Amino acid sequence: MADLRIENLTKRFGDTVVLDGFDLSIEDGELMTLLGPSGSGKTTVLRLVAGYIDPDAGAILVDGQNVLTLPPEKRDIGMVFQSYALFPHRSLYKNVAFGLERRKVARDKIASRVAEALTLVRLEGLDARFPSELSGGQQQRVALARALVIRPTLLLLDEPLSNLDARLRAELRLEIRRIQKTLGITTVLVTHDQEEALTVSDRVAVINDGRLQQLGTPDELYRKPANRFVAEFVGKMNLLPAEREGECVYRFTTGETIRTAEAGRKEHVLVAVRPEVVRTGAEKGWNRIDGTVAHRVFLGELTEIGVTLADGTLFLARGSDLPTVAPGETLTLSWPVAATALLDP
Amino acid sequence: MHMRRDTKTSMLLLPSGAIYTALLLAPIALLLRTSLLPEGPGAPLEGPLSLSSYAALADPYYGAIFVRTLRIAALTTLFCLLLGYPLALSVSRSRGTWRRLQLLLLVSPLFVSVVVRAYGWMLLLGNRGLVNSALLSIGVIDAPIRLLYSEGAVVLALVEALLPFMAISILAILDRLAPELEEAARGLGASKFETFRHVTLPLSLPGALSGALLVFMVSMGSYATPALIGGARIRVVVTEIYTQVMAVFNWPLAASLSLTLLALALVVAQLARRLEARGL
Repeated sequence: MADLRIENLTKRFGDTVVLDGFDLSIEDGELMTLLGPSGSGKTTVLRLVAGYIDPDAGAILVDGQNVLTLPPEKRDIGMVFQSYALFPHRSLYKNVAFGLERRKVARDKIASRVAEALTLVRLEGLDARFPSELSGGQQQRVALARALVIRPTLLLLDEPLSNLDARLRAELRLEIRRIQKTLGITTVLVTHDQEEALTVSDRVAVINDGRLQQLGTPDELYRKPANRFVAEFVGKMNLLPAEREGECVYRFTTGETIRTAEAGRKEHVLVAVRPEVVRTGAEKGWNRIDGTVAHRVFLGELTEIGVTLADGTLFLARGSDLPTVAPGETLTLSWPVAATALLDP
Repeated sequence: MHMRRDTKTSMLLLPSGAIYTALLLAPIALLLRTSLLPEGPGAPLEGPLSLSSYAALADPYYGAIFVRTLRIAALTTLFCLLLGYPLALSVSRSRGTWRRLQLLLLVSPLFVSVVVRAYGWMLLLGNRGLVNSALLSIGVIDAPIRLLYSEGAVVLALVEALLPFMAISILAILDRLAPELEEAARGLGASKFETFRHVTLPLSLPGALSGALLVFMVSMGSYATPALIGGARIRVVVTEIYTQVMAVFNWPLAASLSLTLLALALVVAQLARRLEARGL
């Protein structure tokens, strides 16, 4: 197996700097997700690793070996494209066999390895079908089998689920994770879907404007976002500007003072509170804020209440047991001191 | 339900259908009738129905003309393919100004009439043309060699005239191929050549086939180029039809020649369709 080190990677397209001194280390057997909005440079990282484009500066090391001088066909990397890129003129079998044929594997060996790969992705008995005769989910599985059958040192997944409907996406997400664990293959997944990133990854690298914003486990990212971008991109987050009043005490622009567990040093901060920890009514020892109910919507497992604060900001609460309130009512919201995070504005 | 939609849709065919009936099917019916009249120089276009004009085609003279016509069309198609594919590939791989420039050069021959271009070739290839003058002046030859009025010259001029059609047919397909297909092939271990051989080429064959069909048909039916560049020596079916109508006044024979050429064209088109249906 293999580890991947990306050092000081820089890529410009014309005058646009897509990646600016990007560093990332991915451990052997790890599933690392590059999470970011479109245009953040995450797909560029993948294409650089695969060898489809060349960087302006930096190094890409697989098991300590710089691979930048190698053409794509010598890098031994399995890639799944957003569009799947299945060969339309080849049957499912011939698609999966393509990489083995190029490696001059014996014909009977090809047959057994293709069968093995198709079993792994749970797609048996469709060998003779052509890509146009397969459903989106099946095409996705073929693309995965085709990438894995060559036993690559690295697996790269470029938005592999974005063309599927929500139910299939959730199902295949777990499937990809299962296969990745089974094979123990070092994997880089690119996505703009934070839910996907949080559910499948060992670690997530949040990217914006060609720069790494935060690197951490899904849990760390959710609980301790490093900055405003990560806080807003990963999950929902209430963000309120506040001034430092004293040790662990801050005052909102709306007047309320709150306490925090961590002692920030900055005068001006953003107080970050996840909607899930917010409850209606005043709780003893919790931070609280008052406002007017703007909306109450049913989200399925959860209900969301939006409250307009004195300065016009919308503050959200989410939970499964929120009371019935009508728009226009005055409402007090509260949340634990320990769940009150501070960010730079 | 299906019927109703079909009826409505077929209304769209009315205008073009009327034109085709009036200008294509009706003349073909007339041709068929004419071809069934007794043939002969100055034939009077009356008399009992007979197959004599078709029987006349059995003469080896006409056989040779048909074979030459097919050979010229086949060679023109072959050279257009060999020159047009790399040309289309080059355009499809280029971007920006360089691509636009190549496209402009590619279609520029279409701005000039075939007749003008044929005269151009005559100026180049004639006994006192540029090529012969040049060869004479540097002493490679002592007397002009015959370049014009040869099958080779006809093929050369046809290739020059029809190359844009071939290249554009292939380019249309190449431009539509998703770049990820080639990237996927490279990533799976295929060299640049293997990627071309196993992915790009097979996927672009439909474009090559429709280009080939187009070039073959137009070559078979072309008049100006073989007439001017082939002259009286290189007779093809279409120039022969002209001669039979305008010089020999043997209209039934001209009609049977025309219909046989049409039948040949239909056979070729059918073969191409079979090829395409088989996925090549």
